Amino acid sequence: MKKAKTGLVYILSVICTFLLASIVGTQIVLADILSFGIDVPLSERVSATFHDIVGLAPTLSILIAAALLVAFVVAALCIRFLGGKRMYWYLAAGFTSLPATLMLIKSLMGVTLFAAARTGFGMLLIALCGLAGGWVFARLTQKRIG
Amino acid sequence: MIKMLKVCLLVFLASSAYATEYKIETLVDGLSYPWAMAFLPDGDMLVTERSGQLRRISDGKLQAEPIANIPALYVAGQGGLLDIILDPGFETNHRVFISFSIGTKSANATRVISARLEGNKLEDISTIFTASPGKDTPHHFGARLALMPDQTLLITVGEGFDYREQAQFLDNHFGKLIRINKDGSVPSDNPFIGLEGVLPEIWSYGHRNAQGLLISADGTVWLHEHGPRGGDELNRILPGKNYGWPAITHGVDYSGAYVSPYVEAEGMEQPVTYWVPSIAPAGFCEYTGNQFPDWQGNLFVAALAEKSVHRLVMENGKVKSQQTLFTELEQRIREVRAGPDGFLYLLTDSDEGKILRVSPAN
Repeated sequence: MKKAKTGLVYILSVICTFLLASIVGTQIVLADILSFGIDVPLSERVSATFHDIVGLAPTLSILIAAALLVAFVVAALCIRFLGGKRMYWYLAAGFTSLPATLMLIKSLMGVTLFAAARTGFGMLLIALCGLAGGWVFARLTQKRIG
Repeated sequence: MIKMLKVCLLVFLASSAYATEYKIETLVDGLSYPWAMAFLPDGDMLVTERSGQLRRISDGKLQAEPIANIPALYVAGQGGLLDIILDPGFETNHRVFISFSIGTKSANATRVISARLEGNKLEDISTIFTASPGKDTPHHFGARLALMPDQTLLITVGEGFDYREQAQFLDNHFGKLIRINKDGSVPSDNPFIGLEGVLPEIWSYGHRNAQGLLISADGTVWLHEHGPRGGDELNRILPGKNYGWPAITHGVDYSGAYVSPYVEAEGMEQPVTYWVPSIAPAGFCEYTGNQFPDWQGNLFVAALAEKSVHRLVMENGKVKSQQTLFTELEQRIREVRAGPDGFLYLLTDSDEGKILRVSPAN
């Protein structure tokens, strides 16, 4: 039962991170469109945001699920063997999970698959989405694991 | 004599409107990712291998020794030894133009040299163009070459994949079509001459990764370029025009997200045609030979992902109809060229790449 709940919380943290990353990613790409002198009205922005949530679901969600799984396992091991505040470990795990995964992919494939993460600022925002996922996981598993 | 290495394929096309019998023979095999070919006046052929060798084919046989003095290359991803074209005065000056990638993993770029082919080596080599700035991706080099009727040289430069927005800005070479003189200088009638902060060698912009460039018999400049997921484009190029990438596109990113929600915008050109899903267009030629009368004036587009060649029947600058050819080969086609003998030549994209010759069945 405890494992099932932990699993559900993990899925929730993946969904949270995915939605945030997708929404942030769309806004970064639309900011680029604005820089070309093309107006992006609110209706188009909303439409593009929903389009990307659907479009990214089969790819980015899996990438995030893998990244957070590894990160949370590492965080759990650190808590167990190194001690310290578990919330801090999960925040750190969430924050670093996506940049580490995207950099690994770039080192293997030579390109950045998630366009929003091509700049330092974009990568920071995506890292913060992972941090939110880490917070959700740590917060909702606090009583049972902590 | 041509060495027959594969059983000829006799094909009767299903559509009576397009009925053309042809056979396909393997002229040469054992090539390492062949990328481009050029036909020499003496009947020999030159073929670039992306892995870094320039090979000569004499009497239908691949010569064992590669052409010597190829400059240092950056061979990775889509980079390596890429296009080659002959100077129209090759018979007397032996001059060739070759494109390739140079640099390192963290700083690489597209470069073009001019050289004389003397026997089995390049001499008098001079760099006439290097794309700037460098990039840290091994993809999207562009690197197709074509000579205009006025003897200026056109060069495609890709946007480097991770640098797509730069295709919209004129202070760099990413996603541009470049026009220079054969000595590397900038023609005085280029469209952006004298504009502050703009590179004067730019001829057109807003391109992604153009792997096909053609000056047709009527002088029209045609360019095709890879889209992302969908949105491969055939464009008719006019100087100074913006072809839209990545502000407008009919494709979406590989991740599934928008590159742009727009397919058109003011001041940006529309493609003559586009392909969704992507066919991954590579080589490009216009057929002007006499072996296939039905194909006269048609444009041929090699397709990597679709493993085919598209035959485009043009009318008044538009695509009247398309026919998908050579799918029976089940090979990624990197290049399609009409030979001086009127046959069609194909390069297959593989570490066991081939030169295939398409001739009438009878």
